[in-house]
Amino acid sequence: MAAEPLNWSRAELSALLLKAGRGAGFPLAHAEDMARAVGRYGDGRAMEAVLRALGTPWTALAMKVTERRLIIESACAVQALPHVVDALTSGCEEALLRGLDEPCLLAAYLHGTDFAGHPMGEHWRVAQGPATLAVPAPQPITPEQIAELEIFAARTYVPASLTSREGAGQGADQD
Amino acid sequence: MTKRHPDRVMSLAHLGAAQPTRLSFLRRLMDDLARLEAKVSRPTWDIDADGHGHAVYTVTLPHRQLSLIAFANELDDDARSDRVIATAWDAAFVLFDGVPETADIKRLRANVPLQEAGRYSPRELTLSRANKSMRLFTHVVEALRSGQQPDRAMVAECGYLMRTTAVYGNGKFGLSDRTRYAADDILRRPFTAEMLTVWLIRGFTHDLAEHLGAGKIDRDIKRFLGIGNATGLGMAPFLVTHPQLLHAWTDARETVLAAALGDIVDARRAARLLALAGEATRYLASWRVPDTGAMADIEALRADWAGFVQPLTPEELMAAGALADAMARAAARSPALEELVVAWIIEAPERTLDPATEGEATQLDLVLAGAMTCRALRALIADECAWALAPDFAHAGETRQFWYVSEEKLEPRLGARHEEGGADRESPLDTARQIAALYQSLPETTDPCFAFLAKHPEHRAAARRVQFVASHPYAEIRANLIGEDAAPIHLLRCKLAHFGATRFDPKSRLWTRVTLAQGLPLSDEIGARVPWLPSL
Repeated sequence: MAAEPLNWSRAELSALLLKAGRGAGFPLAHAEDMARAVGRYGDGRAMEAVLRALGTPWTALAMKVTERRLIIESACAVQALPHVVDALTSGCEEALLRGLDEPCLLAAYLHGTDFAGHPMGEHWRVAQGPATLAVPAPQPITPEQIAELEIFAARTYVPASLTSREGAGQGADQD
Repeated sequence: MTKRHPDRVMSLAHLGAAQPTRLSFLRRLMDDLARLEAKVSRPTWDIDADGHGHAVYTVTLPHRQLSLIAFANELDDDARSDRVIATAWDAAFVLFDGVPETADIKRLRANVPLQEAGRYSPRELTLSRANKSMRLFTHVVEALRSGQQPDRAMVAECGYLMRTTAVYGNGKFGLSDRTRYAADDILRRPFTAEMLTVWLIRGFTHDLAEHLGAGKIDRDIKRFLGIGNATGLGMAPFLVTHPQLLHAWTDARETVLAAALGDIVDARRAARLLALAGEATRYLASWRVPDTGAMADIEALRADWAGFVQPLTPEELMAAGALADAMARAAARSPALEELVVAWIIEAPERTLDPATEGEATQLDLVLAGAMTCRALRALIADECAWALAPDFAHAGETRQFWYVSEEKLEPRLGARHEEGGADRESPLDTARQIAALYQSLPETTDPCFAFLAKHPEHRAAARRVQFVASHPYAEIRANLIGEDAAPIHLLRCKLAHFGATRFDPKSRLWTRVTLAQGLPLSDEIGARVPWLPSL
């Protein structure tokens, strides 16, 4: 994809990501978390991962919860990471993500928390502690990525009805 | 020190009766401009004899400069529209970080008049536009040209020379993210950049009328000329999507109110309360709107206020518990009277405002307390969210409306769920229904709620809101916003009152006109007394 720099504010990105998440059928809180994490992060690589997730049907996570551990199989990052943060802030000691599809989203979702992801072969362990892996420099977000997001966001738009316009404002006023 | 109960404060009836207070954002801006000894200059006035061109106003503060850049354009009368969806305006504005160079003006001249169709940079903090109030603007210019002052009755009736619609900020269309300036000494409070824009635009409208009229408007008339604003549904969702801010703003007001109610009223405070009561009486007498229903509400408030202030004497006010008694009297009468009395009591203390109000711009993420058991979360809903459990959502009337974003203009709209399509794409402003659905699904178990929510992620947003409102009681509008009786105008009134708007002039249940910055000091009067409720 072309990497043409784009002057999009973080607030714009977050707003568009929220709508795109809702348009793709994500539960509201997951769309909110994605908007916050990836919008704030402003990284083209994370955006690419999000676009792949938006195009993937939402399926129930296969997970196991014990008192100290959350285990998620075939972990789709945008689905799993909000629950990982929930679990770790609720007393779980670690989360094990087997087959995590988009490890590049770990840094975005864990930003501002006390948790970090650590690779364990094909899997990832998330627990309290400092990150041990260097986070690559952010890549620019491209107009093409924005255009793709807008396709998902458009799924939340509704053609305005005539009745919705009634009483919604005056066309002209010369007072 | 007991604060008012959130079931009362956050009801639509009370939100829809809100009045501006000394905590309103325009008032706090005036405080800060005075504290920082701000100076306003006009380094550029490149406006021709027809009133077209551009001007720059620069606010110089100890630590930075901010400039309003105004572009005045030619506009046919039949193209003048208040709608946010209009495409041309009499004037367009940006608030610029610093003092613009020629290249900045050139870049912005190509974009600012286009408004939403243009693109902006982080150097621009806000974007806005305004149309002339033709009857008054023309009258003021003609009066000045003939060596006269404008007719005071006409000025009092309209109260502004130009009317804004949207004032965009926080990253829209590439503008600066608020996070870039949220720690700044002048811009840290909520919507300060937007309020500063409005206040500077007001000065531009005065200058433009004086330029075209080749005369000076008397200072008291000029001070009364604020900025009109037409506000519709676009403003309403913000209060639902920002529960942290709604709580912070409301809690600041309720905290200051509770403290003021606990004060001992001395002779000085009593005199001030009576003077302010007179100010409110004059304001109410001059507040007239065309809509007969809205006018009847204002007349009822006038009568209630007259009955409320009639028995007040300095001695009565200095009696122990007098203000609390006054509040109780007002509360027993009507939400409109109660909210006016709240603003009156807050206005009177001369002390510096409570530091608790400094948290008004707090931006917190909602975080799930996932260790809470499902049983405890259910109990929390029952205890804190009765307003969400009260509606019977199986009844068609309780889901009559749905909010959505229009495909054509990307603007919020309200649809009729049972008559129109599109409800499957509705915006999630149905907080009460979401909480009720969570309540119905939650098992009575001691499992941690995060485990339940991992299996039922559709309820996670509601769970976070419930937990937040338990510790931040003013975070939610305590009403069913998709019910047939929920009128958006109440939400607009609430937010506009926080801004400091006066003279609410509702045009329907969906939109209103207001006046902003009316009565505030002019740019060469920073630090002068600011009236609570202005009248001419």
